[in-house]
Amino acid sequence: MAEPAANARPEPRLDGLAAEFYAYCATGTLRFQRCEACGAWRHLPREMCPSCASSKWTWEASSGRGRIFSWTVTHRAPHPAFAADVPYAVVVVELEEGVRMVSGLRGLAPEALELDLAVEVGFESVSAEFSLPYFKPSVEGEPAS
Amino acid sequence: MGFLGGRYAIAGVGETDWSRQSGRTPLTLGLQAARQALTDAGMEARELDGFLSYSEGDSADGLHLASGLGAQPSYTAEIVGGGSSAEFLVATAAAAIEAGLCTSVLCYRAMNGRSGRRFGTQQDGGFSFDQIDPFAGFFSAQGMTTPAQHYGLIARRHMHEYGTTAEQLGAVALAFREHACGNPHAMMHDRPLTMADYLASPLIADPFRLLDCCLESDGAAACIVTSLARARDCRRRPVRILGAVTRAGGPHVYHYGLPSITEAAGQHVAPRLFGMAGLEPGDVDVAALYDCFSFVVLLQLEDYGFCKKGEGGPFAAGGRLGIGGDLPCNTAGGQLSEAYTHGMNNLIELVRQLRGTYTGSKRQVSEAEVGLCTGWGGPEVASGLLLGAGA
Repeated sequence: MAEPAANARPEPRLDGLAAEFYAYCATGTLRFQRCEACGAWRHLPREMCPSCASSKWTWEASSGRGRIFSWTVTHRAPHPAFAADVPYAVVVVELEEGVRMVSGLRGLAPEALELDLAVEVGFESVSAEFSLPYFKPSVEGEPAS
Repeated sequence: MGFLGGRYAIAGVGETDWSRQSGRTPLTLGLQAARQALTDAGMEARELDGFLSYSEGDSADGLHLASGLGAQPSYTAEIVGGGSSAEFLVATAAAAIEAGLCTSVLCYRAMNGRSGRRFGTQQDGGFSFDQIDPFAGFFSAQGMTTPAQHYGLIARRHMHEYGTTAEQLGAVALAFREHACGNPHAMMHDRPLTMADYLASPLIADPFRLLDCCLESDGAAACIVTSLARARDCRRRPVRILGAVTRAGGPHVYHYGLPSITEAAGQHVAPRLFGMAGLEPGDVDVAALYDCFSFVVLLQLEDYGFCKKGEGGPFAAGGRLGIGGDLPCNTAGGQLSEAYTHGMNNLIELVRQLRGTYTGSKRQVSEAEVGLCTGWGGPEVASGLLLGAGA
């Protein structure tokens, strides 16, 4: 396998539970682990429930809808692959299920970001195995894609 | 009373010059800092039989450092621990001596943080969370690869919740810069700073400007931990280890999943640390708060109990962090304005304050008997040391 170019966009290692999370993303579905014992949702993917320590879980579909919990706007790209994108926002989204997720933002200028802004998930297909989830402003009344 | 009965002390401290391009290897830098610490303590290199360091794969290991000094170690360890490590090393050194593994330990950090592997960029072989964090891919794929971005998310939320302002972050940068201007050794010596300068500095990872971020620097810093009895025979006044709490944190390292992302893990450290030493925040005469970013100082002021939650900004903006203030903090300039050695340089300055090294100059904190040194400022982990002027 060829080494990725130095300026290629970094991709997550598709192994372990991350591989399962991103396999759902590749089908355009946002799923999180949910504890079978206590019902708590969780992200990032882990073997055990941080609430009750159960090791039983299922992957359950998220509504894909949430609100902006925090953000940062990168003005100086630390990685050459993102140099053309500045300024770009990285957001923390609190989904309706209560799970928080760090993700990218599309469809909105960073300076228009607001706390509690309603957003919904979308996906960019990077390769057959990998789709990058991002969030965009919600359109009222329409289901998340 | 106190950590391991109060039987351990820091006997010597030393560092190299700070620069953007040392032209030396981390091993050479480490040796130079070690020799300075030995001279400071008045100890022979062969007396060192423990070597502890921390690294992101960019330091010098203990066996090579010991070999370079002609020492024969009976205990060496290197940990991967980031900014909570300096305190962890000092505590572990005392514990190793207590356990009989060794008798005098060199704790050090050596790095070419500017000319070698940089934390602020992935260019030129710089740092990436991918090297240390199995979850890093979830962030790096979104263009989030450096500490400034992670802490920026926390700072933005803190601004939402408590009304923290850019000027309050700037107050930290200005206070530490003023200290650097009184420290001829500091990288930012002779570079005085105004609030207008601060506000005009470019945004890096909003809300952080360039001057909210620590320096990137080449250099090494070291201290020698030994028994209080041995330290009493050394050249300098011993600095006693009154309390040590290492790596206390929340239930998991993915802090975005915690109920609050604006609480530093210091809230887990502080009660244990002060309880162990029988002290309270009000007893602290001088502080070395971890300052990878200006904002992190505000978080720690709150979570170590120097002010109420959310009031770190007004506390700092009230001029309390200066020498002569209520809580003189990072009196050599800190990592924001002296140099960045992953926390170790702040610890060394605290030791010197507690010894009264600067007595007779404006740099000396008056009646400095108790010092607090903290590591890391994030929600995941933190560590703390309480040090006391020895006798």
